[in-house]
Amino acid sequence: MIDDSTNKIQNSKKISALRKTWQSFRVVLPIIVSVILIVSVFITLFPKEYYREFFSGNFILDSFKGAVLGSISIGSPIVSYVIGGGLVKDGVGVVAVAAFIVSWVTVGVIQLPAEYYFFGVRFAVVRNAASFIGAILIGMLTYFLMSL
Amino acid sequence: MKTNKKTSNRSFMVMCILLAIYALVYFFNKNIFMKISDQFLKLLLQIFPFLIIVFVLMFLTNLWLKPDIIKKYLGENSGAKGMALASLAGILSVGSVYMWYPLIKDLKVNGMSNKLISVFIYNRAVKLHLLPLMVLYFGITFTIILTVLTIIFSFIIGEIVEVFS
Repeated sequence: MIDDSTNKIQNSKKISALRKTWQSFRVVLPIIVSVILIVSVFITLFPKEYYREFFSGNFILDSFKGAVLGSISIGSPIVSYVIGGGLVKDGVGVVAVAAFIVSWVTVGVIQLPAEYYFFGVRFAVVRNAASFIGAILIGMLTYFLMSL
Repeated sequence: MKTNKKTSNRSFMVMCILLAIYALVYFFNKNIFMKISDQFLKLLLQIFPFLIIVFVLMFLTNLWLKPDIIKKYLGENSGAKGMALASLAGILSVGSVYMWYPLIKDLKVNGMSNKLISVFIYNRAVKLHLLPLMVLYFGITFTIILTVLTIIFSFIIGEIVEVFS
C-alpha cells in the first residue's frame, strides 16, 4: 500500500518534470531553428577562403582582426582549427590565429539575439564585449609566451 | 504562463519571417537557395542528437535538482567549488552553445549566478576531445598556452560579467 502510493508520487513527479521540460523546449525550438537558418546563410555566403585576405601582418591590428573574424564566425571549433592552420601556413601570425580561435567559441555575434533572449541584453552585451577583449589579450599573451 | 505563450509566439514569428526570407531567396536565386538549404539540413542533422541530450538533461534537472541545491553549488556564494564545476561542465559540454541556453536558463531561474554562466560558456573554448587535433595543427606549446590562458580568462571574464551585468 505504501509502495503503491510512493510509486504514484514518483510518477506524478516525473510527469510534472516532463511537462515542465516540454514547455521550455517548445518555446526554445523555433529559436534554435532560427539560429540554424541564419547560420546556414552565413556559412554559405562567407566561405573559408574569404578569411585569408583579411590580415596585414601588424601585431595589434591582426589580433583585433582575428578576434573580429572569430566573433562573426560560427560553426564547430574544428573548422576554426582548419582555418587557423591554413592561416598559419599562409604566414599569418600566432597573435591573430589565437585571438581568432578563442573568439570563435567565446564571442557570438550571430547568436547574440538568442543569448539576449535567454539571459537578458545586459548579460549578453557585457559577456560578449569582455570575451572579445579577452580574445585579443589571449592572442597577445600567447605570442609573448611563445617567444620566450 | 501567459509570458511563456507570448515569447513562444514571438519566437515562432521570428522563425516564420526567416522562412519567408528563404522563400524569397528561392524565387530570386534557386542556386543559392539550394546551397543554403543543404547547409541548413546538414546543420539540423548534426544538431539533432544534441537536442535529445539537452532535453534529457533538462528533464533530469527538473526532476532531481532543486533550487537550493543549484544555489549551493552554482549560486553567487558557491566559491571555488562553483567555478570548478562550471569550468568542467563547459569543457565537457559538446554541441553548439545555443543548444545549452535552455538548460542554463533553467539553472539561472533556480539560482545559478551570471558569473558561472559566463565561466561555463567561456570554457567551451577548451575542447578535450579536440586537443590532439589542435596539437596537430599548431603544436604542443601553442595548445598548452592557449588552453591554460583560456581557463584563466574564463574566471576573469566571469568576475567582470558578475560586476557589470
